[in-house]
Amino acid sequence: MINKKVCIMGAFSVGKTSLVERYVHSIFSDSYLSTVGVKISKKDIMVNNIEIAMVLWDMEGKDDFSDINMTYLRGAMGFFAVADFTRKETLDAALQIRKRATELIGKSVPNILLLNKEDAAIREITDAHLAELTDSGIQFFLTSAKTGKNVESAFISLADQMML
Amino acid sequence: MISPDTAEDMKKLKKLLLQDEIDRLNKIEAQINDPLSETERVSGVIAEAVIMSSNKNNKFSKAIEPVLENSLIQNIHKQPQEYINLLFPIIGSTIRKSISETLNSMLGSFSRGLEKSFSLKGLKWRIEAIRSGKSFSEVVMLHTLVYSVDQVFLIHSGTGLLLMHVERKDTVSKDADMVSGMLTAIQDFAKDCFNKDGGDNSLNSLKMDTYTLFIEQGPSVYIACVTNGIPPPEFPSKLRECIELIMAEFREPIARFDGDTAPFAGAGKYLLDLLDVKFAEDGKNISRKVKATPVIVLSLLFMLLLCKSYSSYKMNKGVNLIKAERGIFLVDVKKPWGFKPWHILLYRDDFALSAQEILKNNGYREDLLTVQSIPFISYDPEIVRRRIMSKLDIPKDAAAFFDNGTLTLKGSAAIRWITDARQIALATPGILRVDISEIYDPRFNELEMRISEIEKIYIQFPHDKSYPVGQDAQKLEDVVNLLVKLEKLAKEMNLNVSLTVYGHTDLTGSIKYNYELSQERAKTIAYMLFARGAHIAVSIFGMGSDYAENSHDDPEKRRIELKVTLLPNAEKGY
Repeated sequence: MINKKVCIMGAFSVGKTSLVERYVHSIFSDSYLSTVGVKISKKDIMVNNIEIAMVLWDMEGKDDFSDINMTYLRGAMGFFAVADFTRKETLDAALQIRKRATELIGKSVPNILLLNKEDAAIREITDAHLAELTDSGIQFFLTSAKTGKNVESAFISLADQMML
Repeated sequence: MISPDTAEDMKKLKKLLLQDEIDRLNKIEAQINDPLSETERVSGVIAEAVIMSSNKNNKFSKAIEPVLENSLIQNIHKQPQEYINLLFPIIGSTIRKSISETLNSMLGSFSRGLEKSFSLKGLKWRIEAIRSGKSFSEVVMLHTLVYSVDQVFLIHSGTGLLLMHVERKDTVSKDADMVSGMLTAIQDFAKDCFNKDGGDNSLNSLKMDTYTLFIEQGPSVYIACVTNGIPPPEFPSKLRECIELIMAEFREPIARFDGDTAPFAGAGKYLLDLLDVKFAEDGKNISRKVKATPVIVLSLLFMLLLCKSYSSYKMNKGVNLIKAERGIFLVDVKKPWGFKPWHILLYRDDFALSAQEILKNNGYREDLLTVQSIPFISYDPEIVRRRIMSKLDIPKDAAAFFDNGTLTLKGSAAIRWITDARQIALATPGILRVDISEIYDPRFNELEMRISEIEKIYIQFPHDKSYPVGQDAQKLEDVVNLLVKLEKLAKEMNLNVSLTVYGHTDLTGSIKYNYELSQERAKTIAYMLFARGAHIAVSIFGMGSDYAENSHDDPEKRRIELKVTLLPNAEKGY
């Protein structure tokens, strides 16, 4: 059995919890998020016939990103930085978080940027932004917690990278 | 002999051949004589030498021990404050930890003691303490050190990932992977919030109700134990031991841990060892029992109360039944505490039912009540009836009725029985009158008939004669026949027949003469009857001319009268 610690971070109300709630298995209530600042859930994934249990640390979304609780990041083997397609500032926040996280736990730690609410009509994040991301070598997925689009693929992709 | 030239040559030759060795020798000599270079040389090997020596034996440690000891003592004397500052953080936290653990376990046992003081078990333990001579608290400790270790987690501190998890068979547990993550998060949270000075103190227990989560931190892993109840004081040290063993065996895989938990399968045995200490008493969880005790005690009390009420209800019912019985007069009811039967004191007539019979007849146990009974005579009509009925052996054609103080005998019975019954009845307490007007002896009619036949016979005498003649003499035969029959009948009825013969005269002659004549006539008849076979008791009376009135020479007055008397035969029954 392979267990992996994976953190999910992002600005306030980018839909992290929705992603977690709909596609993973959880036993704890959301109140942990506002009290302890983190909620643990689990996602079982098969990669190359190996069963992987991704223990997801869903971290409280904060608008002040410098204050994000880095203690919880300790020992993470991969992470998702989540942004909201409809708000540009959340992408900036996600990138900032990504930067801080890689500083703390190392550049080699696999990570994926999730641009959530892909299904929304109004988008603040443009194709130019996406091109910029591609140029910087940042791996991202356009996801929708609502339709489930790309959620599974994102998990599988991160698991894949963690198993390399 | 060697010439000086030769000696010189030899010297040259020697120099030529051995100059290198000579130089080296000189150098070594210089080194030996120079303390500085010697120190430098020894310093290079001293560490290895010490290790080698220590590995061989402990001679070196022994040799160096007094030196170290002395220098330490001297140092402490010289600069005590330095040492105090140095040791304070270590000793402080050690003492704090030890005191808090001791206090915790003491408080635990105090509260358990208090809890037990008022329970059945508490009472049992007090008795045990008295019997064994131990102090009560010791006995409480002995019994309450019971707990179970429900789950053990081995968790990687750095990632919060679960390495190994074991749990008791009947434990209901949540997903251990997530629990491990959350536990680690909570620890991080606690550390962040309360440990601002950056020390190495960490969360070591969480308590909820009877459950305690023990956390024992190792260098890179920690063990979390979910226990129910109060574990023994040595439990934390057992945890430490376990983590040391795991660290010793799995140091490598822990250091290389990247999420693969397979190498830690072997750690299960150490964790199972912790589960092993779970049962201290029949595999049951005392702490639940402790909680359940008041409920059990209350239920028991309730049941006792119920039993007591029911038994009181039954006894009360019994008492009322006894009270209602005729011929019993209830004096006192004593109701002892607890489940002992009530004690009743009563007056009872011999013809009343006994208390035991009353209880039995009504479906109760005879020993429901204890009874002390004092005999007395009851005038209750029913009891009087029973009393008289027990005394009278009533014949089959007769009957006796008792009402309002009067005993009425009805039907037919032997006359002797009737008279005796009357006497007995009148001597019986509670009977004021006996009515025998409705009872008769059927043989009595015949007897009366026979008697009247005899008494009707009229035997006349000739003038101045004391014996009958002619028809009158013949009448004697009839009298005898009748007497024989009567006697036979009387015998059957156990009666004795006696006959009285009265002699009479007319007015002729003097009174004295007439008396003598009348007596003579009665005597003659008595003789004549006896002679003819009537062997019964006969009395004779001469009445003279008392009944003649004014009739002179009246043949009707010259006569005898016969009277039959029946007497009970005293020797025989009826």
